Amino acid sequence: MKYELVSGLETHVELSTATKIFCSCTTAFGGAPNTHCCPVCTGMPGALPILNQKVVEYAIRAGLATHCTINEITHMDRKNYCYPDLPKAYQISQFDEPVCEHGYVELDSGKKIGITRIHIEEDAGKLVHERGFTFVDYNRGGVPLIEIVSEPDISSPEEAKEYLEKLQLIMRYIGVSDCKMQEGSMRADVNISLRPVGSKTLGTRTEIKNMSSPSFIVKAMQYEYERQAELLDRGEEIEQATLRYNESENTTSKMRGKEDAQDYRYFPEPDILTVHIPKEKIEEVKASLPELPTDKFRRYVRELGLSESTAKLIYPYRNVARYYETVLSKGVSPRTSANLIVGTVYATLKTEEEKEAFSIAVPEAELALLVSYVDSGKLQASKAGSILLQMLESGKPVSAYVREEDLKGLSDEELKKLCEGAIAANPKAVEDFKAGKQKAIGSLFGFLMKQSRGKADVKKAEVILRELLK
Amino acid sequence: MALTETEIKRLAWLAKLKFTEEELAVLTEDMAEIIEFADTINASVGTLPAGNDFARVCEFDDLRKDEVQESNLSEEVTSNIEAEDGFFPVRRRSL
Ligand SMILES: [Zn+2]
Repeated sequence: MKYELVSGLETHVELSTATKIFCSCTTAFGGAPNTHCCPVCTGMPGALPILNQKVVEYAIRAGLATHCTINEITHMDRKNYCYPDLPKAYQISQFDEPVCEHGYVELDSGKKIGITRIHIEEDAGKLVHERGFTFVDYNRGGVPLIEIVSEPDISSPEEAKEYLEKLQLIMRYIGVSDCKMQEGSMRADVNISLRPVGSKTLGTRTEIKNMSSPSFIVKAMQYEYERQAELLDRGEEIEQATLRYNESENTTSKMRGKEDAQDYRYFPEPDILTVHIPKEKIEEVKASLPELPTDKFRRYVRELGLSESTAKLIYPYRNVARYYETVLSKGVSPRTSANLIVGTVYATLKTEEEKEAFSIAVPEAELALLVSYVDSGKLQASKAGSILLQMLESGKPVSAYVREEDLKGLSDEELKKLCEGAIAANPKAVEDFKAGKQKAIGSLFGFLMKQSRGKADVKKAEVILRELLK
Repeated sequence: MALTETEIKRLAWLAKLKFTEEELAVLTEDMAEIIEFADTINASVGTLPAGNDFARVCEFDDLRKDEVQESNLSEEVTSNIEAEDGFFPVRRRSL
């Protein structure tokens, strides 16, 4: 039988605030064990949590950027579970009044993946299992997270990957998280169920916990789809379970089944007041949001006339996009500027991180000047590329490589003289051309360019040459 | 409202505690008294003036500012345990 995949993601994103969610300890990564800690984040009896304003603000930002409604009244809840990574034996999270609800993320196809809710909560500590002991470091404990819960709108592993990448991009754009999956600042739990194509009822679902790379999510989902499809084909039932993905074997294995499903006994957190977010605050945050990735991509293609492939090389990198737009603010051609960035600057940046950081030796105004020379036909695009490479290397301004007088161009008189010289100096090419070899005119251009040090206007020169060769 | 022995057993399981049958019988009685006491509080809460909930609302502007404060409490935090390389050691037990 053919089955349809139904999947939803719960994505945890670590917020890049300076302090933890309930205390003023630093969130800085690393540090010796338990040195970024205080009585609050180590769960000492009597210590009282105080909610960080920035965490609420970042959650609002994330919500608005994913088209959510922001709840003006929101409160924290206790989620009880007993494990050494939580010193209080409960996690302070949100249950029935999260900061954001009812949003969506749009995929390239135009399909919208619904966002059920976004809530704020604290991260747990780190455990090291060794010699029959568990060693606990609470430096990460209390670091603020948002959990973004999607609707079961995802119908393929590829959609899950794209959804996650879009989410990552949005969160980086709005500056609430660096979303580095390899460092654990973004993780996802994937819910999967199958149903016969055309059926409207949902099948029994399994949940793959703690995935930390989009490509592994694709593999895990493919594996889980096959596994469930095989069981269903044999007429067996799917057991509702929580699974772990084993990266090296590309399989899933059971962590716990339905019978040991956690009972979190949520109840309102009595140590933290309900928060009132005034409408004006929500409007203020909305006004401070930058242009969102999807909007930027569309504008680059529709208004600036970039090809989709060029636009896709620029818009995902916030610093590149900012640089590019500053260059454009000087009134130069969007396409020439984009091509120089993508074609020349990118050649000098080896890693994704370097593109992400985009700290280059050429200021925006200098690139704009170079582009303006190309725009006005004073400089050939390829020549501009090689000059830009030298500028990137040396950090010197355009004026170090291009002299204004070189760019003045030739008078018609001078150009005609040069053309005559070119004809006189290349009898073989002239003969070939006259014999019908159109390409032979190329070596005359080459000669012209050399003689004029690139100043000759090729189009004008061609008219003159053809006239002279008649 | 009293709790049944089944409910007490469920609570014990959630709290990862084990009790003998005798202990459970005693606990069931004790819990009934505790719940009854809590009910007297519930009864008085019902007499509070309406709108009192607002006392528990914090305005967004009054939330804590995101500024790091060096607490210098890191050492104190681990002072009542025998920390190993700064870690809290927890003995592993199978439940
Ligand atoms: Zn702390």
